[in-house]
Amino acid sequence: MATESKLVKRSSPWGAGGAACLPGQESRWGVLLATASGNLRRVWALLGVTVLLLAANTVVQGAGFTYQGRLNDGNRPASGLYDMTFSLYGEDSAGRRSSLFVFPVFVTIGATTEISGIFISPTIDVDKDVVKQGDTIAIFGESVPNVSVNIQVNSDKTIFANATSNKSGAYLYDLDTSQLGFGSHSTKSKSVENNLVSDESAVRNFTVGTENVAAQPESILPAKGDIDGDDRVNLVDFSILAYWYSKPNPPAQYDLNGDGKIDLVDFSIMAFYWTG
Amino acid sequence: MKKRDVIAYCKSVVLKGTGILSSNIYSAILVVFFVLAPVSGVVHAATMNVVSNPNSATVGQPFRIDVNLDTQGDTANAIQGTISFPTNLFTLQSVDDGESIINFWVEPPQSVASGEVAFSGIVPGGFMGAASSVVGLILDPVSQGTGTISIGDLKLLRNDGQGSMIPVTTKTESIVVLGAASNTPPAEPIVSQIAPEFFIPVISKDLNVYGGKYFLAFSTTDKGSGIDHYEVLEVPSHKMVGVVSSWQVATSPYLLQDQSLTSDIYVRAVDHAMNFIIVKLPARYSAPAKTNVYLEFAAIVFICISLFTIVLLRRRRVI
Repeated sequence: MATESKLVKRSSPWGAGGAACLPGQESRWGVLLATASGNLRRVWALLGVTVLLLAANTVVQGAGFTYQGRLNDGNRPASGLYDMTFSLYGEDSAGRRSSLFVFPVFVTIGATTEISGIFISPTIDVDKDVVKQGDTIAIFGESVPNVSVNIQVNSDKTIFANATSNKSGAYLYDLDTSQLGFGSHSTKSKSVENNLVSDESAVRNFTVGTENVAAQPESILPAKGDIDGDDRVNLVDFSILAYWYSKPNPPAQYDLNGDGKIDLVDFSIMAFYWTG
Repeated sequence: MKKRDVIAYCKSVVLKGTGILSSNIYSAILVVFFVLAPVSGVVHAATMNVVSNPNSATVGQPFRIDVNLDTQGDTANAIQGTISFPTNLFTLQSVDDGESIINFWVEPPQSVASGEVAFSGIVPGGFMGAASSVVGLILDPVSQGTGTISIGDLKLLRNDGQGSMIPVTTKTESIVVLGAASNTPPAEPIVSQIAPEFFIPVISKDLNVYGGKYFLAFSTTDKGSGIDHYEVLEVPSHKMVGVVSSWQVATSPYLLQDQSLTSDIYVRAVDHAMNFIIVKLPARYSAPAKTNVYLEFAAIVFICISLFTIVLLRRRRVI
């Protein structure tokens, strides 16, 4: 199934009773993957489309965008009712990506399907990978401007905190680590605006120890699965992993979960980091 | 705490709190809230079921069963399982994964033992949905009786970057096989005429694959009956593809025979209904011009003889 697609930004508000809330200014939308199935004709395809639209203008809260594409079935335009699943993410001014927002859409010929109420999770990061107990660790990221951001720190006792994003969508919370024990902890956040609550952000891990170690900048390159080192996770990486599937003594760098074997779990990890 | 326990508890509290005391009113309010509010923390397992509609068959009349997945709101990206059926009642006629949600098969669905079809594959980016086909089997009933088709060795992994397991339950399907009526003609198989999708193979190399030699990676899908197999043909770029060419059945990654990459590479994807598509990768490099040594020697000899003959004839004229 062949597709052509483009992401078109509309400046007008979008949908009654909801809004497409996108993190920060000059952010980018990514339609990571769209898988299509025809509900009536059961046509499945991996579109493998990664579309990035670099917003030239400031993103306005409540702004929507139109996603248009062309769906072909073989050499003919597709006709019928198709069940599509979209994965949407936001990318903030520092290149950090939000977690995926996955939603199904029924698309039918001759009709424009409008989706509202999509509230993408905030991005999140910390300034230290290891923080000296008693010092503060900065938890920050970007979300919709001027909203409340609920921050959760997972420890022996879960800690809840609040921050407010500024007019640029950036939020910051300094956590006093004297209340945390030594060892590994994690934090995540979600945004709240009126009655809307976003999905939870990705989880960011950190350690409470005896010294401070600054956090390494998070790479936007795939963290795992890029076996051939071309900064992409795609068919070639899959083929290399398939070569070692169930074979003894696989190279350690291919063993994505470090259990000494190549099995379905390694393929699942690769599928998560898939870029196409 | 399960919902029925909550309701039972609430009922007991309501029966006890019949007096108009503030504490009982608050208890009643709490009870009402408890009953009306959704019970949180209850995990709904995903389901993978064998589905056949209808659930009866006739000897000699092939029928289809599907393995459907409902992730129950979770997002999965890897699936593995084995479908079992009684061999005294059914034989496997074919596999149909044309409508599968699986994008890349780690183990394409195929018979691994008598009465067992195993499969595993991934959905990059994950999948969340209900009643979605994983694989279809066309079974041929061979004798009367009632048989159960089940799924075992199930693994459903979450799209979380860690491959964590999603709890999954299965439902088996009982099929009643009826005897064929004497005047019932055998069913005509429904043959798909949809060819596999266009695709572009990729040449790559990796130190840990085939000792660092060039290999070919390829994959496509087929909406009709699913991909059956691939074949590869390498033809030196200065030659034509013959009527009878030695196509090699291949799986990805495929070790290229011509490591100089001076051959055109053809890949043929064939589906279960024998429809196919052939794609061509032109040779990456041009082959060096080859000269025939013997031809060169013969040409030199001919020239020498010709020159000698000319000289000899001229001397005879002079004389």
